[in-house]
Amino acid sequence: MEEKKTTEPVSEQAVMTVKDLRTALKTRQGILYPVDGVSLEIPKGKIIGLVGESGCGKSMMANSIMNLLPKNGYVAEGSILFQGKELTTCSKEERRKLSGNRITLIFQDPMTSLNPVIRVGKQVEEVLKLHKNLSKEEAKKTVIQMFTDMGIPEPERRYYSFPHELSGGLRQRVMISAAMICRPDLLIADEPTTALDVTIEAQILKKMKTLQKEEGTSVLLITHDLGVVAEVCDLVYVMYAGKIVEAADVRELFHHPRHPYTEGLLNSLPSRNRGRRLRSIPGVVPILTEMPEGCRFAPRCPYATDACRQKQPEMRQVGDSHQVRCVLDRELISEGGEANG
Amino acid sequence: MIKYIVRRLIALIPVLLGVTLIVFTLLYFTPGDPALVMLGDEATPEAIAQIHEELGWNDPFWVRYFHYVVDLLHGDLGQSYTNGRPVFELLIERLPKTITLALISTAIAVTLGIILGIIAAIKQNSIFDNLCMLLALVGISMPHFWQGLLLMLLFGVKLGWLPISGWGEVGNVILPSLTIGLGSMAIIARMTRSSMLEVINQDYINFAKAKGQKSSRIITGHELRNALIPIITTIAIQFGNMLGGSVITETIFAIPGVGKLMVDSIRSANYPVVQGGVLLIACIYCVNNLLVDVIYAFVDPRVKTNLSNAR
Repeated sequence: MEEKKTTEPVSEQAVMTVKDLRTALKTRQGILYPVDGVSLEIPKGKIIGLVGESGCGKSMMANSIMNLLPKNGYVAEGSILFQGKELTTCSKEERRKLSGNRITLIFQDPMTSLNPVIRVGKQVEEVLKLHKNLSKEEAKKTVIQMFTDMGIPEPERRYYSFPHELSGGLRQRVMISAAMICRPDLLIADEPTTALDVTIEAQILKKMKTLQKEEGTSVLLITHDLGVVAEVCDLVYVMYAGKIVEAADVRELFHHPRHPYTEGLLNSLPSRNRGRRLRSIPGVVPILTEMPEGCRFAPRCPYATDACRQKQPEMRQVGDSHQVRCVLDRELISEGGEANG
Repeated sequence: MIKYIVRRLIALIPVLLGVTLIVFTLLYFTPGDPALVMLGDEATPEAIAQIHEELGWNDPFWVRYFHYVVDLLHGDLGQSYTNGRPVFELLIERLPKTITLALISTAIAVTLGIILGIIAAIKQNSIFDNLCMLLALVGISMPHFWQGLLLMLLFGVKLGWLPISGWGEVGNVILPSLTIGLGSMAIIARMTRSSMLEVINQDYINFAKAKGQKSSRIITGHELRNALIPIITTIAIQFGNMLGGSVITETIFAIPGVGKLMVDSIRSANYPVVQGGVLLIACIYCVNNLLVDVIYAFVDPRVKTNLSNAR
């Protein structure tokens, strides 16, 4: 679990490498691809942000990795390599042994993610029972220790609480306890703080970051909140309509966004628009059945040309740790967006 | 919790009083003179009048009802008009048979219903699912007496495997239990299926999967426990219906239980027995409902919290 300093998004130290992943959904309108050729790398001990609007395929991405796709969904193409093991082809039993143990998931809504009829201590203990060979007392002690580490007050009493007796913040702490108790190599956090209010959000993020540092866990943080990304992430992948449109080191991305979509997201941050009206990106994410032919962002892009609408741009390297899927060659203005404000 | 149960038990009193009033009123207005039944066709008008006087039938309605309730409070349900035996004794004698029948039917209905429901939910939209639900539809639509007759015809008459009437041997229980249980099984199966389908898509099931839990344990440990809450209500209602259904089934299969006793008593205008029988079944029904509410608190911790917060 030693810390390795790497600045490049592409490194030999990757815990997980996703390559050209296409996740399909069988629907009445035919086969749709909410995740359409996504490649990303999660280096060891880093927090990776996966950012995008609702409906751009972020959660489908997480569910593909966790094997939690809906009944009509499946991974159609590509590979998910976890510590050298190909997840898309390995057996159900092997994946089950990894889930909750080496790869864990924190869900978006702590209010609905805990089983309402089981005591929360037991729900966390379930993970230990499945993956670790502990006696009953040891398991209980470990859970209570984890609750203490997570800053849950009166952990012995909370162990016996039912989810409805806990606040949203406490429930999310319980969820994180369950996700972290086996000291996983990769934690996927799917909008872990979206359902919480901001003060609780800050506490939870801090706690997650501390734990992540201590354990050297890699984190894939899925969020639509660039503020959260700026606070905790090392690297950022921006996702739009099922594709990665920009990938960069977090500083690089905030200071030199190359994709108009990233620029739009940054411009809609309140902190970057002090004293000015917030600017939103016009339009919405295209629905899966009506994907534009060329660049998927073209219909909403202020710089789009005819060429953009005809051919899909490829991902290209624009810096040491910076890739973008856009034909535009000039550096977009990010610092408050003066140039086109 | 104990406070709650005591409160519920006290609340039973007005309910049962209401039951007595309704039954008493209905029988009061039922045409036919029990005195005629008691004395036979040769009865003289004087003898009939004498009986009316002796039993207080010439008193006004409210006075008669008052006497009835006072007797009830003393544990006296009256005497049978036909053989003079205390109604209470008659009922207690027959109750075990009715209860046995209802319990066995419930056991059949619950076990098969829940299993079929779960399989149908897991294999949603498969051939098995469709077949199950079709059978369930048939089970719900077919009246008890018709089901009973068909079962008798097949297993009793055509195949000769099982006795078609009577009581006392193990074989005697099977057909009537099936008759009473099949309809309920169908309802429970449908309820289980829809309840399971609702639970299967919940976030906490995904959470259990993400923990690496085995599918079989997810079904029994996570899904069923949550799905059970509405199913328990259904089972309780069905148990009540089975007690009620025993009236018809016991008559068809000639089982000397409470149901048959009541039907016979109605035929012979033996009102005290009918009143006693209805009251008994109403009591069981009420206790059954109370029991369900208590079980709820154990299955669903949220209910328990509400109960303790209510006071």
